[in-house]
Amino acid sequence: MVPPMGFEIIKPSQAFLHPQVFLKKVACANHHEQNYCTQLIKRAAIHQVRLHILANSTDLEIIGFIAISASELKNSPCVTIDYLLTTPSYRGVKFKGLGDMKASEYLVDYAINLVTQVNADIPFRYIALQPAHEKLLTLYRSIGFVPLDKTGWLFFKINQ
Amino acid sequence: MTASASATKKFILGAKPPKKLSLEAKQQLETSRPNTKAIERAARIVKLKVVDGSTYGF
Repeated sequence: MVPPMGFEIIKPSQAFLHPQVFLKKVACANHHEQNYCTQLIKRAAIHQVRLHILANSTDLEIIGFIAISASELKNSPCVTIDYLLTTPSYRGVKFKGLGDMKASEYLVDYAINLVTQVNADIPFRYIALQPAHEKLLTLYRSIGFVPLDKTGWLFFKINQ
Repeated sequence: MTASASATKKFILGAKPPKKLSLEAKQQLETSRPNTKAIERAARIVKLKVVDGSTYGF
């Protein structure tokens, strides 16, 4: 049972974007996840991807994060969700402070909302992602993503 | 894309959507409609304060 929590979304500073600094604060389940985080932080440090961190606003424990970047799909601008991680101890946990959602669900909705807002000024037609595992298809489909034929990618349409 | 103990070999961090698409995929992208329900849901749910990490040493 997780006690009631308050949350914030944190935009990490450049100083935080070093693998050793980052991995001290972010719990990973195994070395694969650590490797992904290391690669991701290096890309974030050179502005190839942006991280949005979900943290407990009381003790600043990191609950999870989402990494997004700009891309292109069928000659239209799109946002790619590069990576999504929930801290192992909070996987599958629903939080009242997040509207009874899991951290992963909230972070994807956060990305959808962010892209929709940005879209008013800079056109983005799709959000695209490539699930790391087939079992994640259920999560993304429930949020509104659609498998793109046999590519292994899923998309979410923002604009007609 | 998401962390998992057994990520598939196909997953490459930083991969971009495919440039070459089948006719079916192209049609899907063209004919599908924006998911307004999900967009509205996200707008309703996402209310958290966004803070600059340097404030917290992040």
